[in-house]
Amino acid sequence: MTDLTHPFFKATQEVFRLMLDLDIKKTPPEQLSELKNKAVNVSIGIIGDLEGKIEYCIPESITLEIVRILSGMEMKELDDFVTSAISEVVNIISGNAMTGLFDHQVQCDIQPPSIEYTDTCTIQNKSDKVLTLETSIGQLHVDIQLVRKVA
Amino acid sequence: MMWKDKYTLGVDLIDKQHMELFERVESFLLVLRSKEPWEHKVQKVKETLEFMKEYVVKHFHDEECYQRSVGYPDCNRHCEIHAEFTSEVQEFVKLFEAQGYEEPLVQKFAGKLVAWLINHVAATDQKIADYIHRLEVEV
Repeated sequence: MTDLTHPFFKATQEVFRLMLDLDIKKTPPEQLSELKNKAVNVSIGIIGDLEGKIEYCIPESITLEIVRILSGMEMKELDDFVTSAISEVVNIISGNAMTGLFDHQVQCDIQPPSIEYTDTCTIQNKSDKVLTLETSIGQLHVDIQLVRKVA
Repeated sequence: MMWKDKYTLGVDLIDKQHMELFERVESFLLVLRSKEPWEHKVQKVKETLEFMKEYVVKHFHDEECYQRSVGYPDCNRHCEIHAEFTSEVQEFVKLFEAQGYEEPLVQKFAGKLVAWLINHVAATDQKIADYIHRLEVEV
């Protein structure tokens, strides 16, 4: 089966480079100290050949920095503007990842993002389908919870 | 400042329109994110939406004409992306008209607008520049 993490890593890498001028690299999941902070959890439902959801857990400090880079303005709290902008960034990453999957003959669509606030980024599914990503502004993780649709 | 030189395509008309869009959106954000009472900001919100409705349609039309003139192969998909965004802006406008210009909804619109615009110009539109560059190399 296709490596499901790769299209999401590639899409995140490309969007961070083009939109934010930030490089990202993969980090071993045990190095998660910085994720024990308040965070936003953006969840995107997936339908099609694969079904389930993708959860992007992004610490508050990184979320605010991403939106500062986008807008050129300091952001102080997770308000409607900030959460909408970060949801759209995640939406763009996920859409691009679907294009990556399609290149491997896997056809899926994304559903609108939903957002919630968490006290800490806890990885619930400690499998090889969790991406821990390091950037110069901190760490975030992407939990890929997808299963192949039963015919 | 939102605009970056790397967003330049090298097509004078399109680049000028992109810069105008970025300037308008930035000006809109400065008002929206200021500490002024919401009642003072509403007029700027309405002006921006009026501008978006007219200017974005004109810009998309001009950009699509340019793509056709150079035989850009992904023109149809690009036009679909424009149509989807136009439709989403219209949905927001309908919500504003139905619910009133409530601050949380306008802030959500602005957040989406900023991220969408940057991605579209930095990534999707840059593919046009890449195509033009390839054409020039081949000549």
